[in-house]
Amino acid sequence: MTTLLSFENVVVHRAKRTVLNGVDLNVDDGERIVIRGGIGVGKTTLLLTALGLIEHASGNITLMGRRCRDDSDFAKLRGEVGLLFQDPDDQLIGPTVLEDIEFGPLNLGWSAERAHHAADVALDQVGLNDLAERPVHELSGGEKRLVALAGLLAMAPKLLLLDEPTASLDEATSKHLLNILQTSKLSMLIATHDPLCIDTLATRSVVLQAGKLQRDQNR
Amino acid sequence: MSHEHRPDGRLRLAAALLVGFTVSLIRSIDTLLILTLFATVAAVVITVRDEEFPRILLKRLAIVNFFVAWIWITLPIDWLTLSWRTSGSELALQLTLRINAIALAVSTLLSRMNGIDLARAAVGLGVPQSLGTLLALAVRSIVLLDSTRSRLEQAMRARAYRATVSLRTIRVSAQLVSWLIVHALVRSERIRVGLTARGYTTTRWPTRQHSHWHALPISEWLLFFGVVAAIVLAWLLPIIWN
Amino acid sequence: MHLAAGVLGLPTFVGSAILATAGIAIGLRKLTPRSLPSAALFAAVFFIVGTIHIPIGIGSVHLILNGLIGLLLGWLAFPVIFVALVLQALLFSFGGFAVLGANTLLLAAPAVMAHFALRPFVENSLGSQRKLLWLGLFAATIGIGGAALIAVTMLWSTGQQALLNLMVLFGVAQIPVWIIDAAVSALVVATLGRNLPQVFVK
Repeated sequence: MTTLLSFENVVVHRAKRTVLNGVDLNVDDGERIVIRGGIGVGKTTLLLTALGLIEHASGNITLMGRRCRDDSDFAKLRGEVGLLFQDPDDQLIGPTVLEDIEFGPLNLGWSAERAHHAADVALDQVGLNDLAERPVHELSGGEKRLVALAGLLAMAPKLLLLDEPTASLDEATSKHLLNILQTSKLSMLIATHDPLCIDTLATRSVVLQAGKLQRDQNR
Repeated sequence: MSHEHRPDGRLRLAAALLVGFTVSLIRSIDTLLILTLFATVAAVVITVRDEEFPRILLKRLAIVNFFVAWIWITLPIDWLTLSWRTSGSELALQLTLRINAIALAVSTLLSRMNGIDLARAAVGLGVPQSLGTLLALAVRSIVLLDSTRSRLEQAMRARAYRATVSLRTIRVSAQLVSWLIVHALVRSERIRVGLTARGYTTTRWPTRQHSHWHALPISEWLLFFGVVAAIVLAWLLPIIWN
Repeated sequence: MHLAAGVLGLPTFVGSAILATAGIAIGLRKLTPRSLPSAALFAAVFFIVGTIHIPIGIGSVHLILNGLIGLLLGWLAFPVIFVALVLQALLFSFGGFAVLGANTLLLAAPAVMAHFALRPFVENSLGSQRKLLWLGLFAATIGIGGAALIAVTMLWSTGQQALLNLMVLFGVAQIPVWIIDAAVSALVVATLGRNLPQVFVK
């Protein structure tokens, strides 16, 4: 069993507060782990730290089998891990849907043709082929979430980090998104409270409390 | 701190503008040296009372002295003959002292003021209300847009983007700017609706009126006339000594 | 592209302050309750783009985009740029309070010129990406070129011969700024023209 992401005693400080206080976590290939926890406990911080977007003060992070200490270590691996932000407006750079989805593949050095093809496939996966030429700012909230996801899928990641993926979505769109995630067969680390998301996707659940992860007693 | 308790910065702003104006015109090296010394002492006094101030001041001094460095590279040295020009070095010294005196004095005088305080002070000194309102709203807008831009850049890094010397970086920067403009326009419409819903119909920001000049604390008046006295003293002392 | 406080002589100091004040006054007459939020946000945009750095090998260039701002805002560019400069002076000490008039004039006057020179061509260009690219390029050229010209004129008017080297250096340093600014402006105008054309329509 390959371990895609590993946290060993990771400590993270933000704004003079210790948010993660010795977190231990392994995400193995094939696993879909849900992180639960109250407001402000640090679920988003954990996801951002996993991709090196927030520095960890101490501890070890191993991503795709490689120890990552600073930004340059993480930067080489960001194509293999997709992070879905809680607010899609933080993620979409546009200008059109298709160009936004091509953004990630082009950053990986793919040719324009290959990036375009990957974007088409990703749009098909999320069922938004009709919106390829739509300007990003004209999308609804649900459409933006799906486009943001397509932008990650286009990069062919091995692991997805999802921050409240179904937040603010109606039931039909939530089900559609969860179906896409389930079909993708990707390994995932998901911060969520949504029971539907947990029931549909989770192979394991943990709770973030007082800066540490504990097994979820309810699952 | 509610706006009722924010400092009234009119006299500080007036003093800062006076310093900027008069120091820009002074040519005497001795006067400029004395003024720089006075401004340094004032900055040290603030440093004792405010922990954040030294870091902010040093950052500002680093920025202005980057320009000063270019002055020293270009003015005193004739690069064609590789010779030293005395007139150039005197001018470089004059500019160095002026720039640093102004930076130190203005930073010290405005040290406790934020953008909103500045807007109120400016309106109190006769700047049109609409300009003061624009300044106050811009402060808020910068916070909003900057936070958007930071999150966008974070998300770009999350999708493996790195700025390099390339056409792609220029394209991506253009995309970022375009998105900020689009975001600003979409958001401004929501802000306008929000303001209208709360009864806002003019370009005047609803805020308390300024107190009368005579009601200002003595300390503010002492500060203002202290600055005037410092400028006059700095001008007189070299004359007396000589 | 800011002039530091203490470099200019009295006539230039006073003259640029008067001209900037006139420009701001004209701009404020165009400010309405409806346009106020977007003007404030554009001041924020101008402020923030000044902190976007693009690497050019040995260093980096920060964006200015005064020509683009002028193209979109016209006379409103004067109070918008003034407000952004005030906040830059407060937070970063760029330029400084004493020379706000001069710095406002050198950035906003070319912005307004770009507006009047190019605005008549915008609506006819909306259907063509190539024409929009050229518009953005010209906006940046008028913006950066005009600013550099005004700045050098201000330095020259001090009458200090020793500043000649500084003027030359200042002018030459604007070349990479112009190149990057022109490329970004061109792409932004093309993008806005394609996706948000109403921003150009009166």
